[in-house]
Amino acid sequence: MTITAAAPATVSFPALGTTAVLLVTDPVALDNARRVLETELAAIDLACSRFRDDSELSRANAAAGREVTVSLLFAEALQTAFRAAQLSDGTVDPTVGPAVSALGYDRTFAHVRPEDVRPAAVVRPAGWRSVRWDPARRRLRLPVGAGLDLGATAKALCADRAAARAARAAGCGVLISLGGDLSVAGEPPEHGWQVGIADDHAAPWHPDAPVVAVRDGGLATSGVTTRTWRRGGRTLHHLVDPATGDVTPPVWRTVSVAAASCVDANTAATAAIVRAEGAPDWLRHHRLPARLVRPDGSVLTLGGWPPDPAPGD
Amino acid sequence: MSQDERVTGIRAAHKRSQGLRRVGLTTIGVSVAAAAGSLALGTGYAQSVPTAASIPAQRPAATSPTTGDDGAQQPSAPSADPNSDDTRQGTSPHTLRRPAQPPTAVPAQPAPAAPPVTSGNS
Repeated sequence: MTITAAAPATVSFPALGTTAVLLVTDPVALDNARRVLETELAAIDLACSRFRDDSELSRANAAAGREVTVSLLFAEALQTAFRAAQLSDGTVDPTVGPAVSALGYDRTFAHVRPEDVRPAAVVRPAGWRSVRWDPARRRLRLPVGAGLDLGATAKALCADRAAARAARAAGCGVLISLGGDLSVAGEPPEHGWQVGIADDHAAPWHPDAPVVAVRDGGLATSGVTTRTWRRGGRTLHHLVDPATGDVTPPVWRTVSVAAASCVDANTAATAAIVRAEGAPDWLRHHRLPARLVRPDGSVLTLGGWPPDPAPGD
Repeated sequence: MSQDERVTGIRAAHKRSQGLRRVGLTTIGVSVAAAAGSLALGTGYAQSVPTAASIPAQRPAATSPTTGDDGAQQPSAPSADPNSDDTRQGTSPHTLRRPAQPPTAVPAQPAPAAPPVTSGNS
């Protein structure tokens, strides 16, 4: 996804193993909004990173089998993850951590070995319903051997939190994108925030790529063509089917979803990838605007998502 | 049939009736115990398993443009700490929600000089 709007002010910088992009409608407010975003990023990283030994998530995983008390922010991230699991019928499951690690994504993606002739192990996740969670006391107990990976929802949660807070602090319209998890808050530009849709953020922007205007809520794209590596002759990616512990079949190259929040958009986009052939019916049921791209490049749009422009338009 | 035989028949019928009543009462007792056990088990699971019953509602943002039944708030939610301002927007505990306005098409255009870029690999 590429933000193509010529916004009054923008800044981008590396964060959470990807790129954070901040746009504000009032250039004077950029510094204020950036401070809010950086604070949120630091907090969510310390709470939810699975690549930091000192994160709450790492400590909770290390304490599997024992009860631990967690912070307010980590509790909110857990609640968000459990809600995503519930609303996605378990296709977005926070207990996929050991499965993702076993497949080879056991360190920051920049350090994942791109190729290994040895096959990856497939580990079936414990399942989110096996987690014991008391939200009132913020007490968490994972089953022995289980591990959390909040990557699917924590980044989106951070985008939502940061956008809302930054808009309040800056007093203007704000768009925040964290590696494709995009949240907007405050008064948008007159014609909305213009967001380009692409498979790979690192690829050069193509002028024929579709661009949509977003005015509220969130937008997220999940895909299986970026963040890939190879093990034992198989191309693997970071989206795991909780039912099997293996990568999802490549029925969709990317799925983009717009929703009332970035968390909802991310949940739906990830669930759609995992649901494979069942994704269109599930998205229709939730009435979510979505754009699904098949491996051959053909596109299916649903729920009021505008059709792609014809080439040359 | 003699009178003795009639008395014996009546006694036998009475005993059968008492036996059936005992069995019936035992069955009712077992059913009540089973129902109570199910309720206790269900309550236990509702408290220990993170299901909808234990996932608190998120407080809808004041600016939430959509309507729904998420006015019901559960103050036990971790995010409902009185010292913490609510930052979530547009979430409902019961459903994934549409944006107030779906994305609209924008005519194709050349990219700005240095477009900020994000990935789609969330």
